[in-house]
Amino acid sequence: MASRSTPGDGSGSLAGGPGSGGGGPVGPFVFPPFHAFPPAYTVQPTASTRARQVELWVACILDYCRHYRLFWLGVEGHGGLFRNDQVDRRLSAKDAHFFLSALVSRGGGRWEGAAGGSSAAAAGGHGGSSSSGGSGDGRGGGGGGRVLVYWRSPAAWGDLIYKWVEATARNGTVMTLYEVRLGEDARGQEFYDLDVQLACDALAALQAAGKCALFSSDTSDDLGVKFL
Amino acid sequence: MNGVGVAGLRAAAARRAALSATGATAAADAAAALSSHASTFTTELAKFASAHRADIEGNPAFRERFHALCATVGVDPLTSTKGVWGRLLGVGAFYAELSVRLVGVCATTRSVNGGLLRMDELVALLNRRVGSGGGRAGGERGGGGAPSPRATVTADDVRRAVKRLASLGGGYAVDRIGGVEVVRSVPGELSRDAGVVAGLAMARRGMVTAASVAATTGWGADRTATALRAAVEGGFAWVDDGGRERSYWFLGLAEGGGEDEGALDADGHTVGGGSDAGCGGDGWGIASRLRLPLASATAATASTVPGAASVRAAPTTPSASLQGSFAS
Repeated sequence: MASRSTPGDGSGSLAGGPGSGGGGPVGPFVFPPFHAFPPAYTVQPTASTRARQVELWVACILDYCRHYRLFWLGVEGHGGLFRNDQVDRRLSAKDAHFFLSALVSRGGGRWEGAAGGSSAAAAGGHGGSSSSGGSGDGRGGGGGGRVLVYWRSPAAWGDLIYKWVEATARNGTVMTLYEVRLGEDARGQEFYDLDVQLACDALAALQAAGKCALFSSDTSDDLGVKFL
Repeated sequence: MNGVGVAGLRAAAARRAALSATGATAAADAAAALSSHASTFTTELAKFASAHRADIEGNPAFRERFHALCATVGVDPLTSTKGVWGRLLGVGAFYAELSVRLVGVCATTRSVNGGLLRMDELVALLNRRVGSGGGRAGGERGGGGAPSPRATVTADDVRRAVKRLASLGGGYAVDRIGGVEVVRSVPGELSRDAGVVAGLAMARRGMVTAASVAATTGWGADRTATALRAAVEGGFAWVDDGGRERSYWFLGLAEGGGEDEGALDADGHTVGGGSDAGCGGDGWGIASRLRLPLASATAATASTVPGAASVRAAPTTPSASLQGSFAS
C-alpha cells in the first residue's frame, strides 16, 4: 500500500512522498455525517442556513485536505470529496466554485495565480494585492481554477521551517527553496516535499515576519532564501 | 327561663360569642398547628432534598417523585428563595446547568433546524453531553453541587427547564407538531400551514416534497408552495435539488436512528461511531449526527486556519441571568 491511500479517481494533485510529513499509511478519510446529507449539495436559498452550510463545507474541505496532505483543489474536487455516491449527490462545478470561494474568503486558501504570503492569508477577506492572473478576493480562478488550500496557514508552515532552521543551526546561511523542501536534512520534517507554491507563500510570510530574506520573487525551486 | 326574654337573648348572645371566640381560637389554633406542621414538613423536605441530592440528580424516577411531593405542598423547588429552600442547591443547580446546556444545544442547532428540535432528539443530545464543561454551579458554593456526569436527563426535566426559560423570553416553548413534542427556541410558531407540512415531515423521516404534501393535504400548488417557502425561509428546512424533484428536509424533526453515535470528546465532537450510515434507509437524526459542537469555543491553534475556528463558535450562554433566576 502506498503511504498515502487516495480515494476514488486520482484527479487533483496529490503531494507527499514516502518521507513526507508524519509518515506511515493513512486510512481512508472519515467524512462528517453532513457529507451524506443530500441538501448539502444544494446551495441553500436562506441566508442563515447557507451560512451554516458554508461552515460545514469549509471544515470538511480543510479536514479532507489535511488528512490526505492535499495542496490543490479544483471544482472537480478530489476523490469522494464533492460527491457522495451513497446518496447519489454531487456538487456542481458552479456550487463547488461557490464553496471554494468561501474557503478562500475565510483565509482557508488562495486561488492559483493570486498573490500569496502572510497578508493574503491572515486578512481572511479580500487578500493581498493582485498579481498576474486572478485577483486575491476569491472571484479569481475563473470557472476552472484551483485553490491552494491552507489547511495549515503559510505563517505556520513558515514557523515549522524556521524552527528547523534554528534546530539545525542554519541561521545566516543561504539556501535554495529546493534544499529546504527536498534536502536530505529535511527528510522526516512536516514540510518535506511541501508544494512549491505553498512553500513560497510560507517563506514570504517568514520574510514579512523579518525572519528571512528572499532573493527574488521567483516561485520556483530556484528561489534563494537567507534565514536570519 | 331558657332563652326567654332579655336574659335569654343575652345568654344566647354570650353563648354565640363564646362559641365564635372558641371557633376563632380553634381556627387560630388549627392554623398555627398547620403552619407549624407545614414548616416542619418544609424543613424536613429540605433536609430530605439535601440528603438525597445525588439521588435526585442521578435518578430520574426518584426526581419525579420528589417533584410530585413538592407539588402536593405547593412548593416549587426550582425557585430557590432564601431560607430553607436556598439550601436545595442540588436541585436548583441541576436545572440551572440543564438550562444552560439546553440553550447551548438549541443555539448551535438553530442554524440547521431553524429553532425546532424534536423532544427525543434534544433529550438524546443532552444526555450525550458527558463530563467536561458541565456547569459547576453548585460546586462553587461548596459541597459538590455539580450534577454527576451520568445524570440522565428526561423529557420531563426538559419541560420544566423550558417552562423556566419561557419566563426569560426568547421564545422557548414546547409545541406539538404532527402529534410529537417539539422544543421551539425561537419566538413565533410556524404558520398553521407550515406546521402541517412540518407534521408531515415528522411522519416521513424528516423529508417531504411538494407533491407528497399536496397529495396528503389536498392543497393546490400555490398554497403548498407558500407553506414550503415559509418553512425554508424560517430556517426550518433545507432544500435538495439533486433529485428528480426538489425535496425539503427538516433537520430538527427527523428521528435518530438509534445506532451507536460514538463517544464525545472534550469539544463535544463525536469520535468513532457510525459515520457511513449517513441517511440510509432508516430514520436518522441529522441534528445529532452533524457533530455540531456542543461546547464553548476552543482556542484555535496557531497552525489552524482562522476560518476553521468559526465552526466551533461558542453558543450564546446567558448563564449569569439563568443562574440568577435559579438560585437567588
